[in-house]
Amino acid sequence: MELPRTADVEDLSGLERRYENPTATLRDNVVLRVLETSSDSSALTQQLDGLHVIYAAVTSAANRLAKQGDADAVDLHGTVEVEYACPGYGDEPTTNVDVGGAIYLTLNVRDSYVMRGAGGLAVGCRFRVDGGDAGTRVELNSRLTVDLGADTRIGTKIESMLMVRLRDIEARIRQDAPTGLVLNYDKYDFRVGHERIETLIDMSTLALGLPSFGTAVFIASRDGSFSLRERRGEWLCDRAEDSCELIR
Amino acid sequence: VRVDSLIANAGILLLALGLSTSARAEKPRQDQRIEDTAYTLPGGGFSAGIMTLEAGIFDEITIGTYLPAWFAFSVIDVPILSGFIKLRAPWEGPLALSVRVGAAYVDASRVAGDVSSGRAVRADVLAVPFELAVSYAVSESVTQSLELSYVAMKVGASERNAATGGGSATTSNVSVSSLLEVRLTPTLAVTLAARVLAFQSAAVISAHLERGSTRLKANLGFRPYEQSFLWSVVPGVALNWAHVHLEFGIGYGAYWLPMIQSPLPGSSPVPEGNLYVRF
Repeated sequence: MELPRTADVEDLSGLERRYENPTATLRDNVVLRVLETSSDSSALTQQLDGLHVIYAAVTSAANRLAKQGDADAVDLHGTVEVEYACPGYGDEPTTNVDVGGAIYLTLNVRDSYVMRGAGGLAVGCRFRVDGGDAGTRVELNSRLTVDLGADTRIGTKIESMLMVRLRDIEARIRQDAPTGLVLNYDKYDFRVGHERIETLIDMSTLALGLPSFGTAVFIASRDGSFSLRERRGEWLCDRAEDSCELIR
Repeated sequence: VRVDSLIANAGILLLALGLSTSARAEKPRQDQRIEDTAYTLPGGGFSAGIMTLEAGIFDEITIGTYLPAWFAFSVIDVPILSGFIKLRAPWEGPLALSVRVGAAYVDASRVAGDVSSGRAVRADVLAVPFELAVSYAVSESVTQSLELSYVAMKVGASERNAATGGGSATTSNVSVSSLLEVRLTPTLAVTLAARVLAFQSAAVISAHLERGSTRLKANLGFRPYEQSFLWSVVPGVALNWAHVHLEFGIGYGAYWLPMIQSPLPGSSPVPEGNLYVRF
């Protein structure tokens, strides 16, 4: 009887470094334009808040494992399959996969550490977007890869941000109208934590006529605010005042 | 799996060999040592000791149980049920072959509840040892025995509602042991016992847990021993009177649990002893 095998997972550590180290340098007078363009550029980006469901799935599984797994005495190897019931469209989150759809994940465990890379699927995962229109409903089908940021000892809660890459995405977005919008993407990546979701922007794709190119990180916070991280630091903006400040 | 099938095939071969030579059966000696050898009690014989209770059904078949296991209730509130059957190939001559199959079962719910702060409400442990032994009487006074022991163990546990949480852990190992007995007088013999853990499988845990929105299904394994090489050597003395037999020795290495033939990790002085009466 051999030790159980672990699953192969796409390595997102390089992508995470790009999020950590954006290359663009922005002038203060274009930051607001970048934020507006970024927040409007993708219907999926508008639903970012709902993608917290993936964060909930991963942290719920890891924390549950932390509570159950006392691995002090032995070095565990293998996999933990996770089925997380998406909350669905109701006022109260459902725990029924048939109602809310599910996120399926495979966590790899080596030497009693949950490895940073995890892979899985979102299958008919239904959720409402709290931060947007109250009537907005999203159903997500996608392959997904998650990077936990670091290998984490069983028994330790995961509190870092997660790097997530979705592939073969089909997102059905409905607001009040009975017929919804179906979005298909080959690939989409973002970083999600308890309070914020980040997406990497290639400045050259925004068509703002910027003199310099590079990358910046667009940040959507759960309180509804947006900010932008570039090479020198993070721009915090007050849209009401039309002003931004660079925090280095 | 290969080890399992190897041992199963060896057992079948031994039984077939035994059946084919049953016409040449030899009466076992009354005072032959049973534990760690290929010998059995004579038909109608009975042995009662601090370790085992055994009865010879026929010359070639001995059944028994490990006595201390039944008294485990004083510690864990339930007895450990144990039993074994030993079959010896019924041929004559200096060479003896036997197989012994046993089982030990304990309902460990109480213990599991204590160690898991009341989480686990049902738990049990099952161990199935399978032993293949050969003994060769080199002379009237010298006997060499070799034994191959395979043990499969399974531990199961679940919550009150098994659908919301439960699982099992399985493991197996193979030990090889040797016992040399030299009779100095009809009453006194010296012995040298040695054991080696030849193979230890990984322990594999299959478990499921359901809490709210989250279901986990774990398939995890671990190596039960940090030490890659476990062994023991125990020199000893056996005193054999007409009905009373006393064996004792002290050596060094890992301690093999008698009922499940599995070593405890670590090395230390190893005491061994047995006292039994035989009729």
